[in-house]
Amino acid sequence: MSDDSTRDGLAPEMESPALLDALTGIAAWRERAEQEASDAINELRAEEARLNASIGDLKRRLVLVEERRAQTEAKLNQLDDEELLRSHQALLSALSHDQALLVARSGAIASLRAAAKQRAEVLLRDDELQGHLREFASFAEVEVTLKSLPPGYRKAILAHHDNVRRTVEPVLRELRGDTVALTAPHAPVALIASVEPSVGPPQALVLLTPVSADLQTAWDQQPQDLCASVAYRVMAAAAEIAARLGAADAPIQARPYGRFLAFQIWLRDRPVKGDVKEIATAALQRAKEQARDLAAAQVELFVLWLPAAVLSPPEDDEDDSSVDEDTEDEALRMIASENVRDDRLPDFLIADPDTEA
Amino acid sequence: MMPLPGLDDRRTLSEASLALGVHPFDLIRVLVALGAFPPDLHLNAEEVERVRTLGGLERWWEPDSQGEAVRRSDPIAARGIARGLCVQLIEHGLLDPTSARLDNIFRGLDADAQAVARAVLHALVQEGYLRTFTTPSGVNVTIASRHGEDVLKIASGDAFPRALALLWQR
Repeated sequence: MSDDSTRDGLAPEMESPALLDALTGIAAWRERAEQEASDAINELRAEEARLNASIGDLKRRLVLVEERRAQTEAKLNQLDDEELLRSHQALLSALSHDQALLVARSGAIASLRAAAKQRAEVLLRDDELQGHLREFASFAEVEVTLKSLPPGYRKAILAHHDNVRRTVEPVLRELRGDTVALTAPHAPVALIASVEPSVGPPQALVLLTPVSADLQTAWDQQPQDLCASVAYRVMAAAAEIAARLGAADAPIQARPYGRFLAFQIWLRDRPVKGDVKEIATAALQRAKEQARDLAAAQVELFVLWLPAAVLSPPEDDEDDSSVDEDTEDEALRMIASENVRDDRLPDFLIADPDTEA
Repeated sequence: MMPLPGLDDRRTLSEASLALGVHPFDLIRVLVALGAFPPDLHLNAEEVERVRTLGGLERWWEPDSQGEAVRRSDPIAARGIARGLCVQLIEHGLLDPTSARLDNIFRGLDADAQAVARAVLHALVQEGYLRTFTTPSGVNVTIASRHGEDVLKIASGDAFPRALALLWQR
């Protein structure tokens, strides 16, 4: 072929510099391309490594976030229990505070009563006043004869008696303790009320006082002070509540609640008339209004309704399955004893037979 | 000086409880049932006596009572109390449906004897010989009608349920 071309007078055959150049160029391109690709790969590998490092970091952060979320969710789920525990602790703290206040004001009132008695004794040194008192005291004998007297005499005698009464009234007021009034800040004292269950037919009503549980057994070893006044008035209210609910014969039990005295009205199996809270609130309001001794001490009963669960919150260290059972058991123990028959036996002057043996 | 009306004879509920031999909470329940709860927490002598009568607060263990005589005649103290207690129940005619306040059983006994009487009562209630139930003024007790004869046997010392006899045989 090349021979033919030479013979035809064409340009002599020779190595093509263009191709060589082209091939050389291609080789150079290849080398550059390889270098560029290699550089790019290296950069991409570095980027990949950086990204993997970031992913690892994010994964670790993700695990931490997931853990925190789970912990927060668990905390959220425990808020009910935590709230109950905090409420329970606040309840105990408030009862302690109010108990101390009642005790302190009982002491102050006792001092005022002693002072009133002393003032009465000073007044009674007056012979003339003593004479008036004798006359005042004997009026009952005169009173029965009044009807047989002419109206004019009767009117004169009654007017005289009225004068005598006014004369002796100051000393009577001192002796009755009517002049006793504490100049102290007004203080509300919590009386906790709780009905169990909160929905459905009521099984029991609990009235928890800040009064020391010792009163139940040591009532005869101390004067009838403000603490006894609160306990006695709450017991009376409990009996009234039971009667107004149509369950006058319901067992009413005084029971220690820790250091405090609680009253339980056991309504189970008794058809109840009316709304327990409404009737109880009205009865306790009447008890408050009647309590002139508490008013003189600037103490006012403040009735607070709480869920029964606050009175017997779940234990901290129980697992879920046992918490419910224990809470229920504890509530039942608190609200009322199943063994009513034995609990009916009065404790008055009765020692525990086991300690006797 | 003469007693001042409405003043000298005033007793606190605690003092009235001591005089009546009843726990203040039980006294209050009686007072509420009678519609006589005093807002000033005091009772005069007349009111105390009224509560004693209307509330059925009786003192059974008097020195001349038959139950006390039976109690003292028994050489075993606990058995004497058990027998005396049953005599008291029979003497007061407490066969169901007739009943009386449960705390009447204890009034007049000293603290030690009350402890035994309480154990006796527990045993008799557990055995079904006695029945207790709440009333508007407190807890009452009665002899279960089918156990009248059994209570008579305890009173006479002829037979005792095992749970009761354990009180003095242990």
